[in-house]
Amino acid sequence: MGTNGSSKTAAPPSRVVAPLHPAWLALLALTCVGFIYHLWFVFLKTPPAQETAGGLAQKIFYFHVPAAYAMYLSGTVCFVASCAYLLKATNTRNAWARAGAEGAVVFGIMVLISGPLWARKAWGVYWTWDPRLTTLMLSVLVYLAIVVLRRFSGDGNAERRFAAAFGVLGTTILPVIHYSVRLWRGNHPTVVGKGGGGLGSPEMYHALFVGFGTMTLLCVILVALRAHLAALESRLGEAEELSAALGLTDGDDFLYDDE
Amino acid sequence: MSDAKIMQTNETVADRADEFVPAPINQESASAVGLLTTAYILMWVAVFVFVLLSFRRLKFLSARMDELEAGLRSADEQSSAKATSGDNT
Repeated sequence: MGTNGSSKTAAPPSRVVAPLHPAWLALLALTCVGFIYHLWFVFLKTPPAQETAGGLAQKIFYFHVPAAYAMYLSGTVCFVASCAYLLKATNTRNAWARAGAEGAVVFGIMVLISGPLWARKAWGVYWTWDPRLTTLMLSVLVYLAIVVLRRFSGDGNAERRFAAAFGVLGTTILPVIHYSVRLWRGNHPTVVGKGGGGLGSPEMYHALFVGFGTMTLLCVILVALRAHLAALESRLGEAEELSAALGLTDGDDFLYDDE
Repeated sequence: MSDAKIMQTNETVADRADEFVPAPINQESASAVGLLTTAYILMWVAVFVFVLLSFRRLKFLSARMDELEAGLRSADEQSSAKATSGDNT
């Protein structure tokens, strides 16, 4: 390193600033505008539903369902990246698998927060061990376990492969959640999709679809941001190991002597 | 709805098909405003906490990057100094 005195160790291009790329900023701006519009439309333009469906509290539906969809999306990212990692281990695949699990936890928490608040009004209780509620909670716990595992068990190849296998198996619960209302009896209503009663006004559909759009954008931004961070952390870890292997560093301390 | 609805666990999928239709706001709706607002705020709190944790992690990684970069620069300068002193002798 630097044997001829030239500054060979010039600062490498910092990938930390990648999220400030104009395309990122444009996506972020679009998401912000989308959510402001969604908020305005849901609260001021969308009619409240009948009391048995929760009345005004039914408007939670326009955030709750898109959040659940975003959780499925994040879980799918985790599943695909985990499968890909098990086939061929790369930092990028590991980063996306990790980010997908983290995204699934966040959106899952959003669903678990909003659902019970609607249920309090519509059912009279915050929680019941309904098949869909129970399977959703289990799924969030599985993704949380993956996140905790990755956070506290190191970042070696064995840990990564174990987390990837966990990610693949954990995602198999997602279809169970989706079809639980059809497979088992419970209280969770079926509103949209096959077998659902539908929505009674065009404004309701508009609010729901805008919710899907904005939540998808948020999901893309958050998962990509976390994937970027995870990839950066892996590269940094490798650079630190390489530096130590070359005798430049030992953990946090540099080993250069002044002789 | 309340407990009576919860107890009805023998309903089929077709029985539970539900339609949300527009309805006028009445006195009972008022209690729903708090639930709706709470749900919306808490959902966004979850997102903001996640973003905050991401920035914290970014800050931590940046600090590690700076440390590594500073170490490598230091090593490079020392190596260059050694080479220069070697040439002089």
